[in-house]
Amino acid sequence: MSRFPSPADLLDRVSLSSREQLALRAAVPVSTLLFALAVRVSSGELHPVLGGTAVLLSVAAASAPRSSAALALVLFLGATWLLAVPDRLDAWTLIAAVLLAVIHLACTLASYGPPGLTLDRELLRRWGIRLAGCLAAALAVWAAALAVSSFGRPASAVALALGLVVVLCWVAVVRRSVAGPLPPGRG
Amino acid sequence: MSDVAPAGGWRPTAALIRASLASTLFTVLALLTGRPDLLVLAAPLLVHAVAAFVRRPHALPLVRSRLGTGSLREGEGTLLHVDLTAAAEVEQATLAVTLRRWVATRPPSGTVSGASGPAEDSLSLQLPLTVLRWGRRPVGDGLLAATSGWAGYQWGPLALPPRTLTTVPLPGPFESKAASPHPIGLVGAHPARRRGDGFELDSIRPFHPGDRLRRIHWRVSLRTGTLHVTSSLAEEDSSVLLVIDSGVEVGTSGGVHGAATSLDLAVRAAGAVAEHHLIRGDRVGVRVLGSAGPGPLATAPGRAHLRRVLDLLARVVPGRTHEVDADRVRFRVSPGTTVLVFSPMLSQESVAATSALAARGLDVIVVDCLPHEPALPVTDPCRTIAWRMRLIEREGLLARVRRTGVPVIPWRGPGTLDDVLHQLRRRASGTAPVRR
Repeated sequence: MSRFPSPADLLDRVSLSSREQLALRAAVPVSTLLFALAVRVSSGELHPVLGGTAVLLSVAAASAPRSSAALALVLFLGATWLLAVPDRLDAWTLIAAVLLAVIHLACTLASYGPPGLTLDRELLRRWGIRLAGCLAAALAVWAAALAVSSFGRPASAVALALGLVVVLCWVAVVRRSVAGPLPPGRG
Repeated sequence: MSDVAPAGGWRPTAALIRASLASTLFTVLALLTGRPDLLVLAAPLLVHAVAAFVRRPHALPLVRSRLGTGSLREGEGTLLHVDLTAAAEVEQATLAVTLRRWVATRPPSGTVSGASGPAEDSLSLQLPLTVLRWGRRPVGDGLLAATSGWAGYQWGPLALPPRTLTTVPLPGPFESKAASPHPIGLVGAHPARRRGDGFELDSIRPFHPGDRLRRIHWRVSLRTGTLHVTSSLAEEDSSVLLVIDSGVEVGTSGGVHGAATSLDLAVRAAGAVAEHHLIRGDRVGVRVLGSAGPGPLATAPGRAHLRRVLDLLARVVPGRTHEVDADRVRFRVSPGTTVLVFSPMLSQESVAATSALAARGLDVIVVDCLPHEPALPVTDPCRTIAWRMRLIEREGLLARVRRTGVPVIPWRGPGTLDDVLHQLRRRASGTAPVRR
């Protein structure tokens, strides 16, 4: 991941940015604010330090979407949700998932190229369909979790172990695909 | 056109790392803390990560970049084509060219993006370029990056090599109705001083054996009672040598649509004069004074030669790389050639070269290319005073040139040369003195 830009670079990037890139970058702090608002409404309180940190991270992620700031922002928002919001599966959970997905998608699209880039319409249409698919998956998980929790069964150690095994397999796949050797090239 | 050697391989993007790490952490936390809401937060990221892994690319694309044309005129545009082949696994490619002075791109950021279709094996990017000033300059260098499906892996950025684009000057409007003072060829459009088969009437004279019957002037013949014929002047071409003084450039160029420097004026004026004469069938040669740029171009006729003249003018570089000894400069001009010196007349060398040409008995005309109000980056009062002193010195140099019998005229487009050429022609035929 790239370094953070210097203040002069930052001003250059803002001045050279296309409207589309400005909109994508603006979506990051706006969605972060809405996420903080969702946490506040859902839990009844949100410490100003947590909210302020989230906003600062979102500004950093918007100015350098390829940097680690975007990863830190997503992880921080997840941790904030975990710490501040009690265990519940209401509409706010879905709204939080949508906002987190929007933040991730905005950073992804903004990191396609330099700030002056205007993305192809076909690509944007494709990503719109993909976002809908991702959100449908969140909706399906939410509905499944709601159905399971409605049975009122106690936590099962076997289910936890199975889940951890699945996660371990997933980690192995991630390790191989992300940190593994580069695919062979073709001259 | 050239292939660009592929460099590096596919690397996971920040988006893929973010999606895979965050979804994994959220899932682990959801399992350990028994919080299914965290699974809901992780689900979209997990879908993204899985989809990106599934579409992991294996082959490297091949890149080829080319310009739509290697040569164009000022203000004209062309396309920079960048083609990616063997790119079935490439979903999107981004091209960002290096922004250069006098080269305008659309969009102005010089960045374009393209997406490939689902079953396409190649991807083509096109960036429109417009060159705003004559010259030879590199264009099209920059960075190219490609991304796989779901923005999972990135290839590049790859540095694209520059392509040299020749921009020939856009000749200003020019038209001259004056004939050449010394037509010296065989066929052409200038009335010669000898009689021949032309269109310009010379005289009506008594018939001699050998005259053509169609030249009989019946009205005069009937009035006088003896046969009379019309005689005409032959038509010949002329030889023109264009001398461009590139040793000094005054002003700040604003491109084809903006302010012109002295060298802009000189090059565009020379191009206009060359185009005018070559279309009329005359022979034109070019000599650049002051720089070690393009070499001399021998006088030749034809439209193909116009292409060579404009190409040479595009390669003119301002500045003086070595001292020009006017006495040692060999111009290789034939007698009767009209020499046009395009110069701001700010250096001793150009004055000496002009005087040397005039001393050989050639018809020399100096076209003053100093802009009326040159755009000078002068903010220091001392520099302003220095520029005024330079202009006073220039007046002295111009007076020296005029004393050698060389007319000096400012460039003003169509008709610039008419008066002077008429005067030189009358001087050549001995009918009138030339006012200098």
